[in-house]
Formats: sequence, structure tokens, C-alpha cells
Amino acid sequence: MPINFTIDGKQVQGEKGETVLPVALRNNIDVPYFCYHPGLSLSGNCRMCLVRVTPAAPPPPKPGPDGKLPPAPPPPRSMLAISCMTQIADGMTVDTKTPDVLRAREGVMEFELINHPLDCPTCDQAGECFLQDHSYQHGRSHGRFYEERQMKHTKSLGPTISIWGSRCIVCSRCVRFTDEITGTGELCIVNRSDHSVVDVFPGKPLDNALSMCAEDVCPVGALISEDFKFKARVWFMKEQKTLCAGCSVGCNVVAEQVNEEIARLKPRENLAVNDWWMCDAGRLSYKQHALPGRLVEARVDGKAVTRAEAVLAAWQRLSAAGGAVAGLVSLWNTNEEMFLFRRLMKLLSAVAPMGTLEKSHGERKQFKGGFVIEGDRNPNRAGARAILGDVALEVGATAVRKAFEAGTVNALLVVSGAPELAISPEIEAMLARVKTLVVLDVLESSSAAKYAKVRLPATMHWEQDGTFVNVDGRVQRVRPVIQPPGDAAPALELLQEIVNRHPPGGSGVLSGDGVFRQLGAEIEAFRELTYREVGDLGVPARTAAQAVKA
Amino acid sequence: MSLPAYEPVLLKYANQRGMHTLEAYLAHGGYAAAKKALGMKPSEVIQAVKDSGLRGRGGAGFPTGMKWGFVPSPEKVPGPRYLCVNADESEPGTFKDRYIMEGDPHQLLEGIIITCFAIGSNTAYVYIRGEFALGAKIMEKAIEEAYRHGAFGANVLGSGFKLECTLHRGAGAYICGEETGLLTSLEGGRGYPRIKPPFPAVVGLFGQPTIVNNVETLANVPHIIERGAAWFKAIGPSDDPGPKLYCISGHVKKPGYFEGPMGVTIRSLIHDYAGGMIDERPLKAIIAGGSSCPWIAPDKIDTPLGFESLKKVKTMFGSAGTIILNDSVCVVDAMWNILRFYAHESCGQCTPCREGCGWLAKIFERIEKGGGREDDIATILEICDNMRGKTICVLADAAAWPVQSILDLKNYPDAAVFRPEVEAHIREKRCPLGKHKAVHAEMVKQKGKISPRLVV
Repeated sequence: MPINFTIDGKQVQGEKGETVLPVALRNNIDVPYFCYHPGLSLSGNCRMCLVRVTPAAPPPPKPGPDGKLPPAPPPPRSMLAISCMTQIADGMTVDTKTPDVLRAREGVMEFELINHPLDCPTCDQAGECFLQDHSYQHGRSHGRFYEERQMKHTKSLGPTISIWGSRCIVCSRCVRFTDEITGTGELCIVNRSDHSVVDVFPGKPLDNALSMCAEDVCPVGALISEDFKFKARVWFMKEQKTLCAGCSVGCNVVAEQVNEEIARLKPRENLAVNDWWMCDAGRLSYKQHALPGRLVEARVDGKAVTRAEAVLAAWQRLSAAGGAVAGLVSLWNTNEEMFLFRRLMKLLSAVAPMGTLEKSHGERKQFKGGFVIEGDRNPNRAGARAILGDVALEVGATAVRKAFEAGTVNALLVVSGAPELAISPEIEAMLARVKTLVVLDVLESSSAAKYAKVRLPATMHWEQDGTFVNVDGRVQRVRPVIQPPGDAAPALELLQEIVNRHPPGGSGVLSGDGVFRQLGAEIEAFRELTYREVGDLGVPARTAAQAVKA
Repeated sequence: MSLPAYEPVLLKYANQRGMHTLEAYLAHGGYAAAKKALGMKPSEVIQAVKDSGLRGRGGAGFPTGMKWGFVPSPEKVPGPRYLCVNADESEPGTFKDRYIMEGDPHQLLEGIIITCFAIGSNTAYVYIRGEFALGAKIMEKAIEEAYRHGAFGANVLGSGFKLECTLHRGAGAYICGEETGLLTSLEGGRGYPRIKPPFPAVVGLFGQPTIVNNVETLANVPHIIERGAAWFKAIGPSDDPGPKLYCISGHVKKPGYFEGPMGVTIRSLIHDYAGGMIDERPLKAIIAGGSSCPWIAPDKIDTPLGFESLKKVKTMFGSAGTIILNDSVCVVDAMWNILRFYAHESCGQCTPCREGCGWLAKIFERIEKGGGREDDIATILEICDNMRGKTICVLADAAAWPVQSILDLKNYPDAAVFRPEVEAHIREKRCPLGKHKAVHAEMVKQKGKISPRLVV
């Protein structure tokens, strides 16, 4: 049974058990807050979300048995209440803009700021700070605090996070985060009154796999990540919604770049995947984009050539093998690239099977709040299963090696978008000995690139369009955050260019969405899907998630 | 000098040597009321307390029987119920509960047994203030004796009722005397008050229905059971009856704690009980019920002390910690003193209280030291307005009430008596009574911590 009530004269609807604040936010009614966080328990201590609440009027009295009307019940008393904790009820009226509400907000803002250092020019949070935003909208235009400010400690809380205590507004979000989400409970509030500040117990630093989320939940600049500290002003950064590829969960992230350098990743809310969180390893994985030794030019037999020449050479050498061709693709490549890879292998009428390359597994970790870091450190295993099939995924690489050892493979195509693939010595030996090796890769140090006869520089997922399928069978978008270095181009384009060399030849190169639509026409898991439909938050694959997961 | 005819109830034996032992308590007919109550139905016990009109002695004056009635039935909320005894007596000016615990602890324990039986609780916690070392020692021993006597344990006084009682020592925080702060502290957390509703009677200690009662309230319960509700109701005014412990401190000759019926006038308390004003100096201000109560002017001296009567003169009875100030007191200095306490004791959870208490204290300090500004009074009143009713518990209100009572002419008529003195401080840029030297301007210059434009 939905509950109907009004906020600022607007009829709104909520579910039983909800409180006013989330319903108001959902209906685009601005109620400022600090301590409320949809992923954490309610604490109701910042007092910023005060609104005026009037309960529903009691029903009019009915005549008693003697026919007389009993005295009318008193009209309901309206009062200021914090909207984050006020349970919604049928017929109640909420006002968020009455003069006393505005005055109360102004009062709370003034209290928050009297002991705040107002060091916005040197604060990393500036530009995305609740205090700044609320101060402009709800605060006073001038101060009247003539006393000395209360200073609090500035110190390191752990390897990833420091605290600027004077900026802390003691909203307790970070404390609740470590209590409820990570279950590690490192953070606490020490001291009383205006000396209150967040701290850790001596000898127990804030050191867990999700620790940097503490900086995300901090609404002000009190908790600062060591990684982002003093790096960039947030208003100079360009945002892109994409995915973390650190494991098969596929956390939704916002990647921000300045001057074509990724400055940081932040988790993006997706209740079907990562809620509001991401792990520290994933958050720091953006550093891959700047790994030294990126491939930046195409080479044929060690000689630098143009992209077109290399593409031609790749086609000629692969097709010259007369079907004695095998292929390996990494589990870091997008669905579109795997699909094009499969098409190319078909066009070459490859006799040997397709195989996959992957990163070695790590440890699976589950946290108190339900967040999971998967052991599978490859973002698109489920996609590979849907497109290349179980056989290619499970025994493909071994089959390719066996075929090579049996002498039925003369040419090998390797497509990889990942640094640090785990390549076994047997596979490495094959790469070193195979007659024709065509490689699309990202790093000079990779085994495939080292032995390549034809080498085309490809991109990482930060630099290209595409989709991954996560461990739960959810199709999600990656988007280009930065431009690829040098001549590097997405495998999506390179593979189409190679395919175009096949007689009678073509020249069209489709966008990611174009290839994705073709994929949808051929493969059940992606039936009739488009990028538009996948959107920011992704959609479940068409085949049952279990089947994709297998 | 005329003391009303009154036979002490709560302190009848407490002031005698050796009354803290079980032996002495039994010799005076101890635990008879508990035996009587255990033979009644729980609902009858609650009804008796309701009929007596006993109101909580902790500060809010909430009817005790009604509070007990809020505990939901076991069918509605299964699981244990708890009784928490609030022995964290921490309101400045109040020192009554400690004498019950130090002098006659078994009286309290008997009250605990009856209350637990009435509300169906098998576990009682006594949360005693950390500073009460002697009280804790005596209580510990008394509980031990009561266990040996069979007043606690699996079979309370042979009735088959099971009751465990534990003494818990606080760590000396004012806020842990707030009932929900007490519960959080008892659970092992930081003493943060919780948002009400739900009230502790429904969701309290460890999420279970819990009654939190003051020591003095519970000490009254055995007497009600023993002598009946009608006897109790006959003591003092009928809307606010019962024996009461009064604490009086400040500029009186004999500060201390006294027992009398509810409704003793302030004049009688000063002159009959406490021996009059020191050096017969004139009265300047009355803080009727503990530091958080609004101040009242000397002309209210004939007001009876009671929850209802003091409401009429815009103050509160609170925890009966009457503080008497004579004309040697500087209003600003005294208020600064009170505010220092609240600025130190605010738990720091809610923004208005965390920042507001400290701010008020700093402003009063500045005024006292000769740094008052024209706009200070308006600022102070606005700060109070922003603090009151905007926080989880009433600590912010408690800090704002006395301040408003000396400055807010609109809501507190007595402010007309005190405000001129604050204005004089600001106007003359010094304390007219010379309590503190006017050092503010010099301080600012020397410290150089405040920007020069603020030098006044």
C-alpha cells in the first residue's frame, strides 16, 4: 500500500517504512542534509534537514449514541522535525520552505561554519563540498563569530586516508561506514562538544580494502585520500561514466580526467551492482592508463609502418596461412571486440579453436554490508562465455597450444586490452615459435607484443567504447575517458579494418553501438540490445543470468 | 523560623550511622513492602503508583505510574524487559540521590524489586555516576547483601520471581544522565542520546522495552506500597504530592539536602532549612531546580517548589537542585560558569548543541572580560533560538534556558531584572562588579590570534 502525502503542496507517494527525506529527494524537492546517506543507517545528528511536519488531521467526530457531537479533536500540532528520521504517514503535510525552516537551516549552517577553517582555496573538497553548496544556498551572507576558532587534529588515519579535523562536521558518516559496510570499525569519534573529531584507535589504522570510500562518504573535506590530495581542482576535471575492470563485479564508476590524464575514480551508485562503493584496488586501477611502455606505433617485422600497412600485412599473413590459423583473445576485451574476433576467425576459416587469455585469480572477499570483491580479476568472462562459448573459455587456450604442437597452426592472432595477463610458459613458448604472429596489444612488455611479427597498438578500456558482462550477467557500458596514446586505436576499429580486407573488401567501420547491434542480431544474450538501452546502469543479459554465469 | 510539621520518609534512617547495612534495614521493617508487592498483581502495583500521583524525581516530572504503563505487553513485544536506575545524578546543584544510596541503599533496592515486578523485568541495572566512589562501594555491598538475603536472585523473597541486579559505574559524563544516553552508554557505546520516539519504554536497552527511573523516584515506591496511595497523596499539594529531597547550595548559611513535603516555598527553604542568607546579604537570583533551569528574580521567593507551581513562574523544578545567588554575584560571570559546563559536557552529536554551547560560553567570557559588543545580546538570543528544540536531546535547551531567562524580555519577564547588568558590561566594557579585569582588548593585541579589526 503506497502512502500518499504532500510536500510543499505537491502530492507525493512513498512506501511504508520510508522517511520523508528520500521521498522528497526522489521528487526533486531540495532538502539539504549532511549526515544522511542512503547506504548507511540514520543518525539524525546534523539537523540540516529540518522541515515542518503537520500530521494528518484527525477524522471529524461522529455523533454519539445520544445524538450529540462530541467535542472536535484538537487540530494536529505541526512541528520542526528532521526529515531523514520522520516516518511518512498518510495525509501528512511537509513544508520545506517555511520561514522558520529556512531560519533553522541558516542557524545550523552558521553553527557548522563557526569553527570551520574556511580554507576552501586549499581544500581538495572545494567544488564538491556539501558545506560550500549549502552555505551558498542556505547560509548567512556574513559571519558574526568573533571568538577564537576551535582547532582539531590533522593527521594520517591510515595508508590511504588523512583527516583534516578542523573541517570535520562530525556527521559520523565515515564511522557508520566502517561499522556497517566494511564491518571493520576502525573509525570512532573522540572528545566531546566542539572538540569532537573523527579518529582511529592508537595502533589500529584505517586499513581495509574499501578504506577510500570513507573519503567519498565524507560530505566535507575532512577525510582526504592520499592518492588525490593536492592533485587537481575538481572543477577542472572532465567526468565520464564508465566501469572499473579490476574484477568481474564491474563496479560503476565516474572517471575524471585532467589534460588526458585520469586523476581519480569514484564509485557511482548502482544498486544492482556495487551500491555506492568500490574497492581501493579498483579505485587505484586507473593508474594502468599511464603505465610505462605503452605501444604507440604499428610495426611489421620490427619496422615502424602506418596503421593501414600494418592492417594489410595482418590480413595478408593471416589469410596466407590457408586456414591454419588460431586465435587468442583476452577476457579484458569488450563484447564487441570478442564478436569481431570471432567473425575474423570464421572468415579465415580457422581450423584450430579459439582460446582466451586471462589474469590470474585473486582472493574473493565479502564485506559485512554485502559488498563483494570477486576473485575473478577479469571483467568480461561472462561475455566471453556468451560469445565464444564454453569450450573456447574453458579449454580454448590449451586446445590452441595442442593444435600448434600438432603442427596444424601456422598463424596466430592475439587480441588483448589488458596489462599483466597471466601467460603460461607453454603459451609463451608457442608465441615465440609460431611462424606468423599478429598481435593487437597495449604494452611493450607483454609476451605477445615481444614476439609479434605484425603488431598493432590497441587501447585499454579507459580509451574505448564497449560493453562488459559482469559476474551476475549484467551488460554494462565502458566509455572512453581519455584519448589513446600515439597511433593506438581500439581493437574494435582495428579488427573491422582487418575484416574489411576480406574480398570483396569494404571500408565501413562501425561504431561500438553499430557492432553491438550486430552482436544483438546474432547472439541470444544480447538480443535487440542497444547502447541506449544499456544506458548508464546496464541491463541484465537476455539469457538467464545463470546461463551466462554458468 | 517555622518548619512545617513533617515526618521524614526517605531520610528517616538515612542520616543515622550504619543504616546502609541490611541488618539495620531489616530491623526497621525493611523488605516488607517488597513482600507485600510480590503478593499483589503487577497491574495492582502499577495502579497503586498511578493513584499515588508520584512524579519522576529526575527532572522532567513525568508521572511514574503512567511511564510504567507504557511497557508493551509480552504478546506485543516478546523478550526481556529492563529496569535502568538513573543514579548518574549530574545536574550541577543536585546532590540528593547520592545520600539515598550512601545512607539507605536498601530502600532503593526494595524499590527496584517492586518496580521490576510491576513491569515484568528480570534484570535491573543501576547506572551510578563515576564520581560516586563511596556510593558505588556501598551500593555494591548492599546488592551483595540483598542477594545473600534472597532479595535478588532466582527466587526473590520466596515468591518465585527472578531478578538480577547489576551496578554499572559511569565514566563521568553529564549526558549519560539523559535516559537514552544512559542506555547507549550501558550498551557499551559512546554516550550519545537517541532519537525519540521510539521511547525507551518500547525500544530501550538492547532494543527491548526499558524503564529508566531516578533513584529518588524508586525510593518512594516501597513507601507507597506499604502505606498506600492515599497516604502519599496527602503529603504536599494534591496535584504534585509526596515527600521530596531538596538540595540547596549557593550563598546560604547551611547549604545541604533536606527532606520535606512537596511544595515548600523558596523562602522557607532558604530561611527555615538552610539558615538564611550568608551575612544577610540580599538575594539576587534563584535557580530553582538545577543549573539548566531558567533563573527567577528575588520577588518569586514565595513560590512553592513543585513541578506545577514553578512552571507558572516560567522555570522548572528539574532535579530540585536549588542554587541561591546573592548580590556579590556577577550575572555574566555566573552564566559564563554555567555555559562552560554545558560547552564541556555537550556530547557533540547534534550540530546546534555542539557548536552553540561553546559559542555562547565564548561570548559570555568576552563580555565578562570587557570585550562586549553592541550586537552581542541579539546574537546570543538568536543562538539560543537556533539551539532550542532543534536537537536530539534537551541538553541544548538546558544550556539555552538560563541564558534566555536573563536576556529574553519577550518570554521571560524576570529578564528585566538581569538584562541591565549584562548591558552595563557591554556598555562599560568591563565587569561593573569587578569580577574580572577588562583584559580582552589587551589579550587580543598580545595573542594576535584574532584579526585586528575585531579589537574592540
